[in-house]
Amino acid sequence: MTTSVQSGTPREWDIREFVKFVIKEAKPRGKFLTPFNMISIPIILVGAILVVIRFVFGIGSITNLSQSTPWGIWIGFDVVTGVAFAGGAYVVTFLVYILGAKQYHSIVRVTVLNGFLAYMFYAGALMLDLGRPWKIINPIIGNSFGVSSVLFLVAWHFLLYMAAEFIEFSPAIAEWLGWPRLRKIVGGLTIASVIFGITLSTLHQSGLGALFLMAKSKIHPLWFTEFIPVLFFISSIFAGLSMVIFEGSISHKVFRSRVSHEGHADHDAILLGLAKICAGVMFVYFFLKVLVLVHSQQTHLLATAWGVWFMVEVLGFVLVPGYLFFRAVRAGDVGLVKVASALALVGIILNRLNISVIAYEWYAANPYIPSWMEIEVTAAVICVEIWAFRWVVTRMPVLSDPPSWAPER
Amino acid sequence: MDEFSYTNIFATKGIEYLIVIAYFILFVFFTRALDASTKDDHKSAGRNGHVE
Repeated sequence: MTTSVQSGTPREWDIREFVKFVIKEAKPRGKFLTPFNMISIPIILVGAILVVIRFVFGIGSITNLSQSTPWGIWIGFDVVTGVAFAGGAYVVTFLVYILGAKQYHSIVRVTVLNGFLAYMFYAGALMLDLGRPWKIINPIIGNSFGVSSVLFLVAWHFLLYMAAEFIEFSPAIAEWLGWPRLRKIVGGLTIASVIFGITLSTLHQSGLGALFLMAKSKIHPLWFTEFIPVLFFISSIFAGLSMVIFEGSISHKVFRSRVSHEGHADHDAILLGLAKICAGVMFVYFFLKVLVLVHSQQTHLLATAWGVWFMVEVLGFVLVPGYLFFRAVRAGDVGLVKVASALALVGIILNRLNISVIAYEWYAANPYIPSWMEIEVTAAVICVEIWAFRWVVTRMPVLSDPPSWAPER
Repeated sequence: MDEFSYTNIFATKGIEYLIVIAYFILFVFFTRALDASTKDDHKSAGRNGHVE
């Protein structure tokens, strides 16, 4: 019965056949010695060894973190920046399911998958950063809720949002498994999970910014403002969409054979549509940055070295990519959209790292500089996420059309 | 005691009002310029018979 173990073929529940199917699907496909594999495998292996060392000998064994600088690049990049990059999922689902912008329908699944994996791996990397990682469950089980902490909100939001994104993506899993009844049930939950997910996203994107409100004395005045939560939320919109453009362009090339006819036909129009939204949001964000700067009465600090660095971030990586998005939309230039999205992503990395690492304890005599091992582990987490993304995309109907028995998406 | 001047644009936060007013005015032009490109596309597509 070889046909019964094909992915996407409708079948009745049978445990033996299910196990056979999963084992078959788990096996690697295609060429193994690709350039990406050759680079990523050593990075993942070294990262795995470092993670073992971290858990055996403690967090100080591989990081430059200390009592005065307990948050480093694992929080600043993996969590704070990674979550902003994952913002594309809530923006695109909002566009498609709430605003009815059906032209973006073909990218919903890949965007939700991207967001789900980003939360799973980047927020999962929190485990590495916690001194006592087994206590991560406390805010959930009530051993010590810690309701007065912003982290309580962030912890619950991460957990619930990951569940919402999993439900949003589960129709693709049901189609892959060939279970029409499950497909029908989870398909009916989509709208509810989208609304729930959007609500959670708006709150925890800003909640991550709110974490830094209590560090007023530690963050450079050019970056500290009581409006950090608002700025985090607004910037997560264009950060997420820029990631969708950047990652979507790569996926479109790498998984060309799996992209549906609809996906091929609409690709350029989708990128230009997203660029238009990015241009508008970056215009708003730039004015807010200027307004907040003037409001905080710190303009005199622009004449310092930190001021120059601040202007590099705001002019070079907000105003310039915003203008490039604008030009690209006016000219219908898809290549320029990709350049602008890359610059916008660099801008988001700079902004999040400035607040959480670079301009954090800016006055310290011995500022925190991440060890090579911290950077290596971060690179390993990114590589594992890409492996997981590739595994899912090459098996489930994410970029490709759903099976014929599945209802219209 | 610091002297308060009603004519100081920074002390009265007048500069913030000006930025907000400038933002609203520019935003109108900005969105019109962005939309113009989309309308031009539709017009040229219409001439070529590509509008669905």
